[in-house]
Amino acid sequence: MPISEKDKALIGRESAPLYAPDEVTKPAIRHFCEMVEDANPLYADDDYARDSKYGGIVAPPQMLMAWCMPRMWPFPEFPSIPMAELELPGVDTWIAADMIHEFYKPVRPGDILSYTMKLEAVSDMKKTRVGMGHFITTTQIYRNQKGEVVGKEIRTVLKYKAKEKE
Amino acid sequence: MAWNKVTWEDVKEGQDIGSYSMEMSAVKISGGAWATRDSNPQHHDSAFAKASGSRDVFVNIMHGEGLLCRLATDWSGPTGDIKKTRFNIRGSCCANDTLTVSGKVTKKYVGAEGDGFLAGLHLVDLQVDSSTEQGAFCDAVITMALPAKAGGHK
Repeated sequence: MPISEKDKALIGRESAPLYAPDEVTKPAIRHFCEMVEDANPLYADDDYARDSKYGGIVAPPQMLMAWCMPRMWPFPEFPSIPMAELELPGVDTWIAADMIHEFYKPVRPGDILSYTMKLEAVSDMKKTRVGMGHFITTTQIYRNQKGEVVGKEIRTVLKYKAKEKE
Repeated sequence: MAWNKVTWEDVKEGQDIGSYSMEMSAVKISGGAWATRDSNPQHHDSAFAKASGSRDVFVNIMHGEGLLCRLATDWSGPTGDIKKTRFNIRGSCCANDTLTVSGKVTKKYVGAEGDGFLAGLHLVDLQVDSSTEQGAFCDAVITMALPAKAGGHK
């Protein structure tokens, strides 16, 4: 099933910046490393990191997306993002499909990140391993508080109709 | 503690970068979702996940990327820098699955002039795969910059 003209008109639109609810912190980095069992001393060992080329602790670059996840309470008022405005009737559940990350600059404790999201593509309704759904591709540009671009993300998610429970 | 320090000259295309396995308990899966601020109930609510067509709660994409990137830096040591990841979800890693992550070097090269942020860096592409008893979970091509004896590692 093709997407509606209204949904098609959203393709190519880019959001205003969305800001991380918190600055990057060492405890948040450690909580991530704990669940991955990642012992890289650049992420946790002050002495090692100080003597490295970075001169101090850095966040795992692969945490890029996590810093800007919205807080859960009180629910923030977001600038409109084109992905949230899609109608896509009949689908109700999200799942990630693939993601490309490029890391340009280190992210450090104290940084406050923001990102913009551009809607790149929305597929017709397709059959997938979890149900019928649309693949939605967006590009996110992440910046730090100095306005420097620290990374880029191209992400494809599937919005699908969850199967009825047997 | 002594850390690995893989230098670019010593890497061979096709070489193995090792593997690890981890028991993915529901605590680890929901903890990974919490650590990446992902409130989607598919990562912490078993009944919800099953009703959505999954076997159980499953590892989210940010946690999954972390699990694959860990193998890359465990191998290179902290002097290897992850520059780019191309990450695909093939299946799911659910509560009580054993996750195995393994990888190899597929390409060794110097970033070309036109390669933007990769220009001039001593690079390797790693193919990193992961699976559970149930089949493939996710895989990635991870581009890393390594220190080179010839210099040039920024």
